[in-house]
Amino acid sequence: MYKSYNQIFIGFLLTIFHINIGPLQILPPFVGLLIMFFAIYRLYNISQIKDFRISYKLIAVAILLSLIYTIITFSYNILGNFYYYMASILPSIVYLLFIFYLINGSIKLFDNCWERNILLLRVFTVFHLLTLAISVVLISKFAFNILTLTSLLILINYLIVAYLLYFYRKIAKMDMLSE
Amino acid sequence: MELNKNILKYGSIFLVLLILFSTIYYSINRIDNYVFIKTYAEYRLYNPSQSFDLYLIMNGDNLNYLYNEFTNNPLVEILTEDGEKILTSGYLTSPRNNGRYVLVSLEINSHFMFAYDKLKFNKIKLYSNNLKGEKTSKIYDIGELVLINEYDSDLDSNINVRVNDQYSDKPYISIGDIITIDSIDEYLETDIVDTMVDGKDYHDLLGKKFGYENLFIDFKVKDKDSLIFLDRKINYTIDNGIDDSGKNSFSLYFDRKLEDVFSNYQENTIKEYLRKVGEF
Repeated sequence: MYKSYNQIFIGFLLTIFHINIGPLQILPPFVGLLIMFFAIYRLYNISQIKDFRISYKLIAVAILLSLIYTIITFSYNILGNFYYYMASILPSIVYLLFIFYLINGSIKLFDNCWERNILLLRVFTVFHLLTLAISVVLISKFAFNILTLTSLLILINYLIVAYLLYFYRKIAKMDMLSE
Repeated sequence: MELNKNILKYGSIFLVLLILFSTIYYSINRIDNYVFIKTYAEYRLYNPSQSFDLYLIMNGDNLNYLYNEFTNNPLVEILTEDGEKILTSGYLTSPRNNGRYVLVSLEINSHFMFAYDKLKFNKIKLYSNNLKGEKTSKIYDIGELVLINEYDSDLDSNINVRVNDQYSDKPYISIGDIITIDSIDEYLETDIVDTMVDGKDYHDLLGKKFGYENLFIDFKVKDKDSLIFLDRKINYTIDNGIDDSGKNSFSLYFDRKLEDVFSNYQENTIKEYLRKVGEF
């Protein structure tokens, strides 16, 4: 279990940090997602919690979308500005969903060992939905450069998820040691 | 946990509806863009030395969401509603950092235009034939341009601006007219022109230089008071980035008061402005 959470944590970090050389991404997000996919799949096999099953299936979708978007970005914007930006919202929705089910499954797995889990997940969900809604509105107004305004919310989201995953990793480690 | 799931469920539904609404709104709203282009074009009508040449400069950056960016340097044809082709004297495209082209300026020779009925060229559709090197021979509709024949226009909103370039052999360089569009062109490759009036800085006037010959100035007017000085001589200094002594100076002379144009000016909002010009 510790190994799974460790991989999920590393995978998550890899999805956050992007290293680009021109249009070419050295570390495309789907590498991190792939690591997370196998880790969550293993977690589901161990725990048989339904939420993990939903989560890894959603990650599979996210990997597919990530691959498509990597190719599209590499071969320039073929969809036109508006539709391209609007379509790029889609992976963010999938991202929200699989993180939600991952955290929700983890809460069940550790039997809600920390009450703030649920609250933090709520904050993440609300912030993420808010960020996406703002993004959609801003894209519609053609104010692409104001999209950076939403980056604060995204940052908070990343911190919440990273913190939660780190927390579960720690709990899983303690479980492993006690066994 | 149930609350979280409900938030996710209803939030997602709301988001999907918002995306659908935005996409539909955008698709419908595009149809009205000709008013925007018209306004933009109209205020860039330039009539040097009272000749019949209309010089139209479109800021490709501001219109980049109306226009496609082209993989190749586009071939531009201007067609009237009747399908008749109006000859262009020339057009200028700007390659972007991403290797794509945007239509920056378009010169329409009014000798040809006056040969047509004015109603015909009140609506001109621009097509770009983006053929060469492309697998498909798509014709992109890059927008609808509505021009007002200045001799038939009641608006009389064209302002002739003449520029004396003391460092150039050319008698004038073309200048665009008033624009109140509040846009951020941070990624447009232009030189910003410092605006000095009688030695005083006016930050609400911004000039942009497109190459050497095409200088046009965006007048971002914050309030009516700042229009007062526009009928006076204004010295512009273009910073070439060399040093202070290497600056080129231009003197602008306005043929008529800009205040006249903005006599009904109330708010510096693009919507108000579009509405005003759009009714003709």
